[in-house]
Amino acid sequence: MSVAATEGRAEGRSRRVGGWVALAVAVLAAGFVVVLASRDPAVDRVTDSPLLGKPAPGLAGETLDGAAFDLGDRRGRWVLVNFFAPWCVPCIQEHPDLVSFSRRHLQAGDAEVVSVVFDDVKGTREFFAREGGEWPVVVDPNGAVALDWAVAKVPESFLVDPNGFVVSRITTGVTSDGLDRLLEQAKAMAAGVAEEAAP
Amino acid sequence: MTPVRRSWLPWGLLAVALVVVVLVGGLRSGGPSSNAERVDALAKQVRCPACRSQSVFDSDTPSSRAIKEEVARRVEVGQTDAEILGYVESRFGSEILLSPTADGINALVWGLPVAVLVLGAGGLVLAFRRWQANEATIVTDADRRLVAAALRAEDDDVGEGAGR
Amino acid sequence: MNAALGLGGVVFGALAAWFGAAVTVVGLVRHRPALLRLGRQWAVLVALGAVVAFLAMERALITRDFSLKYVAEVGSHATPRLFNVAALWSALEGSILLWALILAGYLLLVAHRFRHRLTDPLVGWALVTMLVVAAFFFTLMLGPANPFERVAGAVPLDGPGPNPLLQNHVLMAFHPPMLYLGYVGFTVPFAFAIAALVTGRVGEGWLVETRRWTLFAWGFLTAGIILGAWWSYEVLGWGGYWAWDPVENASFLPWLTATAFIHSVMVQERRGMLRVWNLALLCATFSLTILGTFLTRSGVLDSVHAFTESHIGPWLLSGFAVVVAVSIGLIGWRADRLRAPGAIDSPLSREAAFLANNVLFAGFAFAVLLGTVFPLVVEALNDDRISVGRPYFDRMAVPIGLALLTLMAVAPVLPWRKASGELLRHRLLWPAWAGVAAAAAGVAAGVSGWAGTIGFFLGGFAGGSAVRQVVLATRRQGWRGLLGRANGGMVVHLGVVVIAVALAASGSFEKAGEFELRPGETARFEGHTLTYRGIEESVDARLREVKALVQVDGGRTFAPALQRFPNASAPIGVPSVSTGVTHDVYLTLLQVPEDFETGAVRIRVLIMPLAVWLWIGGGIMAFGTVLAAFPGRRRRRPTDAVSAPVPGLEGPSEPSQPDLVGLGAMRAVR
Repeated sequence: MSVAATEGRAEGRSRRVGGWVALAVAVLAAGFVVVLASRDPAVDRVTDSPLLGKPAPGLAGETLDGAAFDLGDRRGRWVLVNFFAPWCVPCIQEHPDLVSFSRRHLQAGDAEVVSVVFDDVKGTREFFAREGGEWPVVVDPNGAVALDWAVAKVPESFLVDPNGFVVSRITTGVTSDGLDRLLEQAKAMAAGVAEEAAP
Repeated sequence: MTPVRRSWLPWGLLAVALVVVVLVGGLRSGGPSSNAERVDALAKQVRCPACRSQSVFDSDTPSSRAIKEEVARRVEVGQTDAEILGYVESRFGSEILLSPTADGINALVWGLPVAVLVLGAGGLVLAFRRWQANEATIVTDADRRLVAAALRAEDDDVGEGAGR
Repeated sequence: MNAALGLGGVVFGALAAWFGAAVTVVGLVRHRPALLRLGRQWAVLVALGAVVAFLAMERALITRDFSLKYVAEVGSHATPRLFNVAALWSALEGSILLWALILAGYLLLVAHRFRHRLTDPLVGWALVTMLVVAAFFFTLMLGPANPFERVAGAVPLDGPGPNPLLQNHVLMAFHPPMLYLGYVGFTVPFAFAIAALVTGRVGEGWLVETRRWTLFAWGFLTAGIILGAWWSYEVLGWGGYWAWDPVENASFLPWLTATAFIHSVMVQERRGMLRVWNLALLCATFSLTILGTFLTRSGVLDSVHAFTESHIGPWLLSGFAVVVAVSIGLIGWRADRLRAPGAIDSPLSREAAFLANNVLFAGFAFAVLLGTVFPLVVEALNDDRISVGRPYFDRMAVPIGLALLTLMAVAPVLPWRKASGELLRHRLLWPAWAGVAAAAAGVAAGVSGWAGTIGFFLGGFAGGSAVRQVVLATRRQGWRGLLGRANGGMVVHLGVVVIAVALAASGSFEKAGEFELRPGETARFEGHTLTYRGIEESVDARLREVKALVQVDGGRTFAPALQRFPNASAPIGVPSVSTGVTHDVYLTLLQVPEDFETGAVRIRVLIMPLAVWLWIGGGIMAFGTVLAAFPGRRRRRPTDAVSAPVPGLEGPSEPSQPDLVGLGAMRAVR
């Protein structure tokens, strides 16, 4: 075969190979872009937790007043478990909302608030004395409770249903209305499940 | 000594020295020895829940400290690495482990780069074979004249090919 | 007033960029040189718009004009002036403004440098590309990333100030601009690559023209990355310099492909080979800068730099997709012209070494990219959430790093085309002994582990090769032997070797300890004594700082501190580092007692071996880059390498004389 023909053949072959390679790269890049385009921002993903839908981890200890506390005793009511530290600015900001939520539902008798603090007990006592909040504040000096509940940072709140299951995890600061809505939704879901389970 | 022998001698000495040094250095560390080192090694595998891209070893947030203490407690009790990491994972979710496990789809993240590099190396070998097979170059007189002119024009060519 | 001025500048720049691109395209397609000669004017107009917008924003920041939403978010009365100036690039919108400014600057430089050749289609298409990219960034500022948006409602009296972490150290002001000078700098060679593909003149001319631009962009990017690592170490306080955080990776990825590119172009200049590699690497570098900005700013990945989510994500992702599509399309279209006339003769040749270099760097970039985005892929496929963190990247980086060190050791002595074993044995002997000596010294000092020991050996080996080249060059040419691409490059290699050895050391004998000390108590750690002397507290409008005074080895007192800013929920640790030649003693304050007088502090001590050499190595790399920018001793002559004509290809597109844009021809044309 002549030199020119061989080279022409080689040229044609390399062109086809080049075309396939380009196509493969383009397909990969397109898939990559699609994956990236369909992602939610990372901030939104945090509220998932392996605890959801499972029985709540233990929460037992002494409160600020020295009384004993155990979450297991609170079956029959919705409990909002709130992890707190007095130096945490969003915790301070959400506190008035917790106070009003707690008051409303203590009256109604269906839900209550429990705080857990693992740091600066003295500051917490002063804070609660100053800002109010008549619910148990459990002291967790080693952070063992926080670890059991897989708390990443404060503030973090969990909603526990009357049967002792963790229903929701909130990693931002809470508002009084937001909590009310969350409680209503949780109650509605629990009622729906109960209906399905009934014969 | 023949010239060939002489040129290999310094390299032989070098190889021996290198092997000795590398063996001494390489065999020195046998993995974490004390409990404290085990805790540190495990802490480097766990992500700090409150930070971004830091391990529990690096950070000192309350949650990191709590995890480190729990890990230390379990190391004392005698649990294995897998058990301890499994506990942390069961609490916080699989996101807490900084090094993805090699099961299921996660194996891709370990396997793909290796595959790419192996393919790349293979491609290089194939390309070299193909190029060496094609090596027929015909030298013409015009080529010879060009080379001669270039050689004359060079001032002090050390011939290393490393100048540019 | 500031908002109006700034927005006016942005609109002006955007219009100038879009119009300029359109007019230049018309001039190129319809062969109207008069339109092409306006290129410089467009660049001036775009730069004017950028400068006006930039100055307006700086003025707003310095005068604390809180009517601007951006200033209200990052400015503050309590922050000193310098930090307010640097606050411009502390958040998203401002950093896009900085990008646009730097791009306009590069555009102006290019238009000026090529002002006598504006009618050359190659230069014309390059300017079009740069104008389109500039238009993209200006348009971003008119849409999702508007820095001049006004505050809705009442004008606040004060702002929170820039992120506390950014106020800690003055050198932080330089990290983003340096990085951007690098990122944006790659637009120039990219633009010329696109121009070469579009015009079909894929010879070497465009490469030669842009060599220095590429080198400077690479140098700035390197400096920016090293500054970031240094800041992470000295200021952030977690005791490390590189966490393989997604945003760190975003800056590292284009660096990897760019490094491969600056090596691989030498093969194209010499022998006209590896053209597809070079174009692909260059387009990959530019695409990765856009992708990196997307990963940093869109919030899809959780990272130190993650700002509040913004709507800029889809725009940047679309920009990335467009760049990739255009690159693949153009390279595929011109594939036949990119075939190399020659071949690599022997595995033992410099060309082969550079090809292997390309494969290694590409593999490295692939591994880093995969690790960074893998959590997103898994989530998309499985709905599972995993992390890919430091252990993974370290495991991947070590073998690749060692392979690269090997190449660095052998390649500088490899001649072009073919080498014999005997030649290599002769040239590599002394560098190899240097490697053994380095490994022995390391092992004697305490290095342990295979990777560390082999790393020391290869580092010494590569360092020996580099030193050998520099010595030979200076012997031949005196001090001028330090200038030029090859010699400057050897100095850069020396810097890399220093960094590699420091990394090998820190990987193998870093030590950590924690101590609780009452005032006056002393702890002993790894041969050092640490005496806690007491607490020093300082409060001002900006922050509340509590320092623990720790005397190290009975000498200087260091003060690791905890800072509390009014709007942060947790205190920020400030480390204090005692720098030494062989290792750093790194102190952080973990916990302050309630009672300052008698209570105990908790202090963390880290011994970081050879840490200071990381920064020294970085400095050597920067110095080497400057040396490499000088012209070498020889200039191009007619017999110098120009690619041979591709057989079987005819037509005016491949001129029979060397590419007109080449330096050699420049003298003739002028």
